[in-house]
Amino acid sequence: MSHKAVTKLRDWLFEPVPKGRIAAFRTLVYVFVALDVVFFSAWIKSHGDLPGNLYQPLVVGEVLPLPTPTPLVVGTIYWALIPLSLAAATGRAHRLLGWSVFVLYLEYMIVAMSYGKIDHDRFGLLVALAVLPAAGRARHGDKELTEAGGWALRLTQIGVVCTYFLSSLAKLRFGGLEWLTGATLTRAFIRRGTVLAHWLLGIPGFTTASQIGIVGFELLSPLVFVVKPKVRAAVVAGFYAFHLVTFCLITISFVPHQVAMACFLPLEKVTPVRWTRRLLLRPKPDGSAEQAREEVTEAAGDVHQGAADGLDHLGR
Amino acid sequence: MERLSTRGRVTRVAVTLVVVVLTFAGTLVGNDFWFPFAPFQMFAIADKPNEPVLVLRTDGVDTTGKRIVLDERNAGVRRAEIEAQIDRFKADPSLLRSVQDAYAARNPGKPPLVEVDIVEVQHHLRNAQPTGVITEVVLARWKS
Repeated sequence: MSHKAVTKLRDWLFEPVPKGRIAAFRTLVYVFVALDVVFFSAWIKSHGDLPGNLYQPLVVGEVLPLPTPTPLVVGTIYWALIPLSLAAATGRAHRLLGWSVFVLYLEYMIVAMSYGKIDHDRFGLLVALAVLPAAGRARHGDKELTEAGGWALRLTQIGVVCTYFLSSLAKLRFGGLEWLTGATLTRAFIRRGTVLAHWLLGIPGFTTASQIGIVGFELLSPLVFVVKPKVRAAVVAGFYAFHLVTFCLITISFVPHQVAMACFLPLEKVTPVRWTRRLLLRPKPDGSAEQAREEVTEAAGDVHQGAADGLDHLGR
Repeated sequence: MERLSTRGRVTRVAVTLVVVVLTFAGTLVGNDFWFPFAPFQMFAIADKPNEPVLVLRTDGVDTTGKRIVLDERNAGVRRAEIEAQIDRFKADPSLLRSVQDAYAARNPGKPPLVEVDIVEVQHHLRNAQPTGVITEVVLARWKS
């Protein structure tokens, strides 16, 4: 590879992002972990009650070696994950809390996947949890750019896109080209389809065309990295739309994957706390002084930020 | 802007390479036991376009002769679990007595079940399209 290409690849891998985006992504991901444990993946907790002879340890479970799940093991992880992930969502002690949540959540997923059924809907989320502790300190609303944060989001994006791209390779490896014209979707529609799915089954060729479309979309998904920013936003919106349609047809949500996919979005622009504050402090007829004070403070903040950016430019 | 040290960059490039290599290897040559680097193989099996799609259903018949579809709510029956253990039920249909008991416990006051059937519903296909023909075969039957 030429020197120029290496530099370009390196710049891409470490493309800086505002720290505010990292803070927002942290909050989203860690709040989701708590919700996932309690609601979305509540079935995992019952794995502690299963007889030990149903446990089929994964490679990682044998190498480390991890304990056979018991109600105590699973319950401990469950009750530790909830407060730790909520604490991590604040962005404080990002390394200590981040690593703790990553290790516990990974072990929780290993428990989930050690009974014969392996899902791939949370690979991107696991990547996000693995890299967020190394993304550096970040406060909400901070506009300063960070390379460590940029890398963390980039690797999560790679994990998300791998989920699509490698799904298509897995279909070709396990199903072969016959997958395209097979009855995989038909079977899924019949077995767990919604009313809409059953109606669509009546359209000749619908499932075959959809299967070809799915593999095409999955194989082309890495293009999201090379298209222009505006097109990229549309592509990511397309990814989300794909999961919405999947949910409407066979009620498979892929929620963990969708949370990880938020790494493509300018999350720093979503500022619910500031919006609420603004809504509450909306100027009353007699509150003009307060409003003016607020505006001055904000303007001062911008000047300060401007000065900071200027210093950055000078190579501070 | 907060920049990374050279060491910080080198470590991260190494991590990136390891993750990408393991992820690709998992799908190209690995198996399920490689999780979290297992193949991304949900829905990756190609189902035959001209073979019927099989769905198991559990039926109960009560003392009035009424046939009831048993599910997670009225009898604690999960389809996936019945499917996973179908060979046991075929070999020893008396195991279905537990379903009968579960129904009685969840439906006090309703007529009890006198029969529990595991029915295989076959949806016939042609070129991956349902033909509309559906046949039912009883795989296991328990009568009290």
